[in-house]
Amino acid sequence: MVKKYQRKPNTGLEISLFPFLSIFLCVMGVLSFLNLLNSALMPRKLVMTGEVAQGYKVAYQIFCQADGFIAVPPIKRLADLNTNSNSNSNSNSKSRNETIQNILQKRRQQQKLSLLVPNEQNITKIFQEIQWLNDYARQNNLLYEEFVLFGIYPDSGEIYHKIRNILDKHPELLGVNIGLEALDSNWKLTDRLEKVE
Amino acid sequence: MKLDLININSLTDIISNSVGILILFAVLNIVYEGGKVYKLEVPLEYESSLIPAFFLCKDNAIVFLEPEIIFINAILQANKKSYHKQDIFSLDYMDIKGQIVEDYALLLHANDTSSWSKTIDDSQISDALDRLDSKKQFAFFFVYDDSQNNGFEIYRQARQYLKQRHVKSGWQPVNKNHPASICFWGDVPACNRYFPSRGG
Repeated sequence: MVKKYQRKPNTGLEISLFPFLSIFLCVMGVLSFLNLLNSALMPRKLVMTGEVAQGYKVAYQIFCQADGFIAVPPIKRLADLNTNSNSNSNSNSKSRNETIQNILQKRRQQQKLSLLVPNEQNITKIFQEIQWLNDYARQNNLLYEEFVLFGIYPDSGEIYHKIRNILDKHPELLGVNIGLEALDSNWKLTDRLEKVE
Repeated sequence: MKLDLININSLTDIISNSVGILILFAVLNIVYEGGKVYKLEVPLEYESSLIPAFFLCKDNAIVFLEPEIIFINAILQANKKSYHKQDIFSLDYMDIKGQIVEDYALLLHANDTSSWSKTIDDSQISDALDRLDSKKQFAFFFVYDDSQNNGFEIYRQARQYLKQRHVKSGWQPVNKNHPASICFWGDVPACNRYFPSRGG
């Protein structure tokens, strides 16, 4: 009976650190690898805003790519402008409000981002529209101003220069503020316009 | 007879742990990155009386275009008897070639960038950037836009460096079809106009 409760001789508990260390190093390796992979390859969704834009300035984004450009017009802020101008409207401004609504409707319809080839017609139309909205806001003391931001992807210099050349031919359109930014190929646009604003 | 079997418990443990963590992080990354939208603040161009100092960026290398050297060398080349209009000639400066266009602009063609500065910390370029007087000058970057050897990254670094020093900067993409061009006179309508950017 006494023997049953006797302790076993202390042989010394040997703990091997190998499994712990190997798992730890594996985790570290995987973690750093994933981080590197993520930062280098994962496409990043972006939205461009004007660096010095005050609250009332709104960006009309044009993303230049190798074979065309993608126009991302502001919609939400224009809808707010439309609501404001509707609440303050009188009979004279009715036709102007309709124009804003038309622009808004057109912009909503083109929400599916499509690649356009720059030509005199589409570029002047975009800038005329922006200029009209800016003039309207100024005349009615509304805090709203659109400006254009160009996102330049690799190999898209041709498209950008084509757009600028069209603008240079139309000095009346040069009143719109412009900014441009170099974008890496892994910077992607958000696929839905509502997210952009 | 006692057999010396290899115990694969530890190995299985390591592999299953790694795979599990890999999946977990992949899912976390997708969830986190998928919904994240980066806000890029872009400076706006404006007309200014500041004088441009030109830089060329290509293949993630940068070079300051010393106007005196470039223009004197271009004039020397153009005065040679063998010179023909639209000839592309060596400017004897940082492996850059020049081409005079209709007596109003000098086009710059860059091929080999091995002699250019690869980082902003290089004294060759940092000295040029430090010399810019923020009250009189701004930096204008001609940035090659080729997908393989563009100068976007080094341009952004230089712009950031200048921003910290309150020096304005502007840029335009260039390539083989639209090379960098410096006008002899600013009032020629066909000439490029160089704008700095607010806040940039």
